[in-house]
Amino acid sequence: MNFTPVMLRWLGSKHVPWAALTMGTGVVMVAAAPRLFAPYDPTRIDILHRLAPPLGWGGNAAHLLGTDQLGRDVLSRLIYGAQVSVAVGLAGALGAAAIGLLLGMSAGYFGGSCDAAVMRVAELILSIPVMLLALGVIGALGPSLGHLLLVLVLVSWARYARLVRAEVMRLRGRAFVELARVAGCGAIRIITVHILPNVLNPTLVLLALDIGRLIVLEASLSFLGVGVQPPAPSWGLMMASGREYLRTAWWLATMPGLAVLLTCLAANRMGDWMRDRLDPHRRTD
Amino acid sequence: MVRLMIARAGQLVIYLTCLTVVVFGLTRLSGDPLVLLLPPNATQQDYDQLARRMGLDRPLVEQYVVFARDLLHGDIGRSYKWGVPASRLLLERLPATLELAAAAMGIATVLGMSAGVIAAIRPDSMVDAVFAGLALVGQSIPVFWLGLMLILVFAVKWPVLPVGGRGGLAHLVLPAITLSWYSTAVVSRVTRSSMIDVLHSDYVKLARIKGVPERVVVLRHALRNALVPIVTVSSLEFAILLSGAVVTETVFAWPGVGSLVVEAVLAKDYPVIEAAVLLVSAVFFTVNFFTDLLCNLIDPRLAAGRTP
Repeated sequence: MNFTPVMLRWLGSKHVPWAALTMGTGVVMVAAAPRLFAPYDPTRIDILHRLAPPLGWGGNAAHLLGTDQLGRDVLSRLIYGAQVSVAVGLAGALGAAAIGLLLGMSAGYFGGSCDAAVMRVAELILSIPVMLLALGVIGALGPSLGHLLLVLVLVSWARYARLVRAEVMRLRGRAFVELARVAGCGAIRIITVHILPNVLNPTLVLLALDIGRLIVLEASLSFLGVGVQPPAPSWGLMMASGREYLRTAWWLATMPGLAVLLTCLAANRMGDWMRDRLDPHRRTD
Repeated sequence: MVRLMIARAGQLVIYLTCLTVVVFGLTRLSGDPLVLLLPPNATQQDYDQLARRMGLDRPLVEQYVVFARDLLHGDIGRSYKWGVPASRLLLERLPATLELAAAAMGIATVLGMSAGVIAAIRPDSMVDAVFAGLALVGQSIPVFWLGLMLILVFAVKWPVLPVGGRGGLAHLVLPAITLSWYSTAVVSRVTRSSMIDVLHSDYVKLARIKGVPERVVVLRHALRNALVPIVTVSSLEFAILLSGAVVTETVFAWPGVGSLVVEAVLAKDYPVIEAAVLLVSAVFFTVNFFTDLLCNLIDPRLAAGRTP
C-alpha cells in the first residue's frame, strides 16, 4: 500500500488540526531523541540552584522551566519523561489493539462458544473500574514498568475486541466473504485477507483515542507510586514529588501536568479528526 | 417488567460469581502468602503445618469453594497491616467514598445536562464552541493534576477552602469538583447530541406549531425523550468516577475506599486489596442493575424489547 498520496490528500483537506498535529509530532520527536533536545542531564543534581523559578517568574534563561528540589532542570526532566509516557502509551495501545483484533475477529467469525467465551471475559473486564483492576493486578504482581504495561493492555483490549467483533459480525454475511468461502478460502485466509482490511479503520480510530487515555492512566498510576518507579523521570512521578512543594514551588507539579494535558489533548484531537475522516458513519457527537 | 428484572438479577449473580473467581485468581497470582506470614527462619515442617492449617495444601477448586463460602459469610480475611477483618476496614471507609461520588455525580449531572441543553438549543454558536472546547479539555485533564491545581489556587494562593480530610460541606467542595470534571464533560457531550436528535423530531415540530412556549418544548417535550442515552452514559460514568475516586482521595487525603486501596497496594496488604476490588465492583454492578431498570421505566419500549 502506498500511504504518501493518502497523507497528502488528508493534509490538503479542510479542518486539519494543525496545532494538535504539531504538538503530537513535537512530543514524539522529543521522546524519540531526548538527548538532542534536553539542555541538561535529567539526573544532574545542582544543589546551589535548587528550586529556581521558571523564566518570567523571577527565573533566568539557564533553566527555562525552573529547577526542582535537587536542582535538576525541569525542562530536561519533562523531555526525558516524554519518552516513558509516549512509549508506554503507544506500546499499551498497540498491544491492546493487537490482542483485541485477534480475539474480536475470532469471536465474530467463529461465533458460538468461542464468541461467548471472549465476550463474557471482555464484559467482565469492562465492568470492573479501570483503576481498581489496575491496582488489584499491580498489588498482586508488584510495581514495575513491565507490569504497568501488562496492566494497561489488560484493561484496554476488551474495548477493541467488542468493536472488532461487531464489525466482523456485520461483514460475515456480506457477499464478498461468502464468495471467498465458496472459492475455497480457509478461515485464516478469509480473516486476514478479506476481513482484516475492513476492520482496520475503526480500530485505528479507537487506537488514536486510546493513546491519550493511556498516557493519563500511566501518569495516574505513577503518581500513586505503583507505575514507573523512581529514579526514572516520568510525568506522573514528577507531579507526585512536586505535590510536596505546592506551597513553595508551584511549577514542579504544574509543568508535568501541562505536558500530560497538552499531549493528551493533541492525541484526542487527532483521534477525533481521524474518526471524521475514516468513519463517516460515526461522526463526533 | 418483572420477568426482565428476574433475568437481570440472574445476570448480576453470574457476574458477581465470575468476579469472585477473578479475585481468587488474583490472590493466587500474588505469590505464596505463607512466605509473608512465616518468620524468616521457619523450617519446611512449619511451612507444611501452616499450609495444612490454612487449607493451602488442598486442590485449587476446593480452596475456591472455601474462599467463596467464607465470602458469603462476609469473611475475606484479616488485613496483614491492621490485623482487623478487611471487610470491616472497608465498610468503615465506604460512606466517605459514596458521599464524594454522589456529590460529584450530582455536579456532573446538573452542570453537564445544563451545558448540553444550552449547547443543543443553539448548535454551532459561540456558547456551543466554548462548551465543546471545555469538554475536550475536561476529557484530557488528569484528575489528580486538576486536584493539585485547585489546591494551588483555592488553598495556597487564596486560602478560601480547606484541603485534606473529611469534614463539613467546605471540605467536600474541592474533591467533588475535581472528581466531577471528567464526567461533566461526557454528560454534556451526550446530552448535546441526544437533544439535537430529539429537537429535529416531528413531535417537537408539532409542539412548536401548536404554539407551545419554547421553554416547555425544550424541557418537557425534548429533554424527557432525550433522557435514555444520558442515563445510560451517566451510569457508565459511575465506573470512571469510582476509578477517579482512587486518585482524588489520595490527592485530598479523603478517608475513603480509594485511598485505602492505594495504601494497601503499597503495603502489600492483599486481603484489603481483594476486598476492595470485590466491594467496589459489586457497588458498580448494582448501580448498573438499577440504571437498567430506570431506563425501562423512562422508556417502556425498551422493556417490551423494541428499539425506540
